[in-house]
Amino acid sequence: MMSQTEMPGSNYNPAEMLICTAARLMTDNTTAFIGTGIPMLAASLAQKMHAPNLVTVFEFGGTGAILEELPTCVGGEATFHRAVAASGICDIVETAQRGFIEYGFLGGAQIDPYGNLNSTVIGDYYHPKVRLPGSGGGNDVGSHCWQTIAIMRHDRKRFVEQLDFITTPGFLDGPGARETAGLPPGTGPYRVVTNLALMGYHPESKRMILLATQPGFTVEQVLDFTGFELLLADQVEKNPSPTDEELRILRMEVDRDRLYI
Amino acid sequence: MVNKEIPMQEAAAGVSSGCTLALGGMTLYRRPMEFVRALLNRFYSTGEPRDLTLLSFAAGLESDLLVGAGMVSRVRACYFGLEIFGLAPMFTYYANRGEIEIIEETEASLSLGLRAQIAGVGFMPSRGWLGTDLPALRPDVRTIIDPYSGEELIAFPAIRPDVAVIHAIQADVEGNADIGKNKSVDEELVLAADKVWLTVEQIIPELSRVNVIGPLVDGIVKAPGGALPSSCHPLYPMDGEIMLAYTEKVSDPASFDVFIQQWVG
Repeated sequence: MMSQTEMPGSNYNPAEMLICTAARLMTDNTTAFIGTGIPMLAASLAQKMHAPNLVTVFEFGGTGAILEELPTCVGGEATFHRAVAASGICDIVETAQRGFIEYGFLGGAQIDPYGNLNSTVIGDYYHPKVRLPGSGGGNDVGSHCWQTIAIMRHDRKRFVEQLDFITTPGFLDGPGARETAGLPPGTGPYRVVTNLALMGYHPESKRMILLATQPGFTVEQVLDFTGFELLLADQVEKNPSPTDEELRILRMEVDRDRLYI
Repeated sequence: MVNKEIPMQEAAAGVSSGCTLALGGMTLYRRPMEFVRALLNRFYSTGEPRDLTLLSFAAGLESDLLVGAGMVSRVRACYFGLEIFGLAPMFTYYANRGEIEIIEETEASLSLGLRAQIAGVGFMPSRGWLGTDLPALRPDVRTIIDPYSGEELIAFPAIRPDVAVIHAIQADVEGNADIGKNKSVDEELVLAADKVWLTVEQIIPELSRVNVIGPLVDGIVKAPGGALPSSCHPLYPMDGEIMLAYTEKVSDPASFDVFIQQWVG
């Protein structure tokens, strides 16, 4: 078994790798819906590295905040710091539905090959093994943002062929299904970032495809930790380790109190 | 000028069994915790109110306390948890056993449901929920054909809370109030609910900025520090130690009873 803790000989931990990988996906001058946890750290790192004009959107109403202080939660004071707008949830939901938010970062307890997510329940809905907190903004992000990026821990319990419950739509059951269901054409899952790998979706089949492995992990290990058949890109890349600069900013500026890392 | 100031006990006494109670704020921010404490005290001394439907956009500690006390039959929320502190233990306990009814919601169904109520119409159309397992859980949520585009949309029904309780930063005696910048859905709750009570950090003669208007408010209660242990920006941050103690100590009815006896009274 491989260790999911710190790699021998590396000078960073898995959370730091995850945050850096997510931050590198954040593009300057775009709007991004930021969920709680890792996406907040990634957005803060991205703003301090390559994306100073990243417009962060928090579901509780903060829009365009400069993330100097790390928010502990999506309604925390820091999500309004130097923000261009402090609206409320209703406005954010409607704005997302109108198509104003380009990237949506979200998570879930389970993901399937088409990028559908479950954050409602493990087991049968009416006889649950574990009741989870629920959709929150998950369904809204997955329905309305142009491109969604899921951030997950990678194991066979989370990467499953069949979800116990579809809370958040990915590509549903394959090509054209979102459009048939009435979701806006051109929207859908874009990337999955995990402690082991970076994945995308096959342009035709819409199934998840392995794009790159995280440092220290092999393609075989990633496949082994995935509970469904993962497609492989023609050339599976190797993600670079966090740079000294990324680690310095992450530790000295983004999460000084080490709440997450 | 109408002075709407009332004692906390009077506000707590106004919540009747079986009603839909909306609590303002969000997860761990600006929750009307002192009101919740008064409601718990009333319940422990009189057995009322019970059979509540709790409407909370993102339910947190305030809701978990009411669930743990056995006052809640139904939860209408899109999220029930304690964010960075983890699962809400008593909600999780009863939900895992199927012993609490959950009206499954998302941000779209709640916010558009409130907007419909505010606009005085029966529903608001949306593309939320399409393609997912959510509509199957909510046969009361129907679809509608957009008469202009022919598109089939989800018609989220109007939500009408009986009582909304909001914690404000400042208010005057008529109920004009400032709830700060972190507004959650409180402006909407004030417009949608039949009855509105404010708990408020400070009552002052005149406000320079108002986001809740007095005519919509039925009563105000002075409650400095009334959101603790949740936060009330910019006056105080959340008390993370209490949140942590709660999640560490409480996991079932017995451990809840120990905790709640220290917290109420």
